Amino acid sequence: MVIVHLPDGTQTTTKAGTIEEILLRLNLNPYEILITRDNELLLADDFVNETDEIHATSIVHGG
Amino acid sequence: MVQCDECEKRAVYFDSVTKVKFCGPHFSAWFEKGVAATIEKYHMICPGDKIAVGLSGGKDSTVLLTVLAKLNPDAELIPITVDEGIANYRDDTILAAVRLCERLGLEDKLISFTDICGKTLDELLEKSPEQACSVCGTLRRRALNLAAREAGANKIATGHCMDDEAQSVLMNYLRGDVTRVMESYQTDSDKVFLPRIKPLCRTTERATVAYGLVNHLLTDLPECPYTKYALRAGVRTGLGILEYRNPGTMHNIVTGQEKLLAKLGPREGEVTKMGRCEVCGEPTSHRLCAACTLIEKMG
Repeated sequence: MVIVHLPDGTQTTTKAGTIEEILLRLNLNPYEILITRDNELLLADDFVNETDEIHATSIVHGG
Repeated sequence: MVQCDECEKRAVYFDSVTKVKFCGPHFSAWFEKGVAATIEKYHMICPGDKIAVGLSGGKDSTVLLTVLAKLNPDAELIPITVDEGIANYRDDTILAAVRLCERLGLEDKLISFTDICGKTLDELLEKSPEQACSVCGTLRRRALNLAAREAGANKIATGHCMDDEAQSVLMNYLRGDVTRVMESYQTDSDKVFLPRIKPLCRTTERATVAYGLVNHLLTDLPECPYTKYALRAGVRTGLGILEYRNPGTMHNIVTGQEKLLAKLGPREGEVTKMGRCEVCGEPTSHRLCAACTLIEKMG
């Protein structure tokens, strides 16, 4: 399963797919979330494999 | 692999409005060029300017200060960080701000709400946390103005992005606040306040944060605990969904507002003259300025 580090500091797992598919599956707005893998930004159409670990950054700021 | 429009490297950023896609270095160059074009279009920076930069330590202001330092190596930049006094939040962002300034070789000036009204934001909001954003916004503007003037700055730069601008336009309509929609040309405030510039106002929040990630400028920071009380939070969520489904929505709102103001034109004879606050001497069109009114109201 793909390990997803969420913006609130928690983590979850999900099955492989494109970034956009994964974000929608996790009820996250693809416009508001940027995904990195090994510190490199991924595009919405990039595919993430079962063994990957990705990091979600929210573009929303808190003040 | 999706390829960069400019080279053979893998693309890391896709702009859903213009459809351009870039690798890290070409995205950074594109982003910086966009900010430079905005600065030029709105005549934001002139030779000899001494610019106070509002630096919260968060994503937008971190990118703003970094890009301004890169684009304007000769400009005098004075980072100013406002400590509102928010437990379990502000300490981390202040540390991020201080570290960024160390990296850029700039001295960060710190001013707190305690300095300007004797209380932290947490203390002010003890009985009414739902007022957080209006109280914080008013006092933060006061703090930034004071610190900028003390530092001898002639302009204040803030990290507001296109998303913030679009949210503000929509919020004014949602409140039915026509005065604020037209505020920018109904007063002579530009003559009495330090002029504010927003060099990121034509770049999206998404591009701004992507720039921060591509250039490894950002660290994980906590979210402001008062965000949940903000009208802006709901507007931001709604606009974010619209932007995802209809790319360009934010841009259309902001440019639409600009066209509206241009069509209305200058309104000579209806300009509200700004006076001085009876308590602090800050510019205001009323007896007391917004900050002193607030402080008086909150005891």
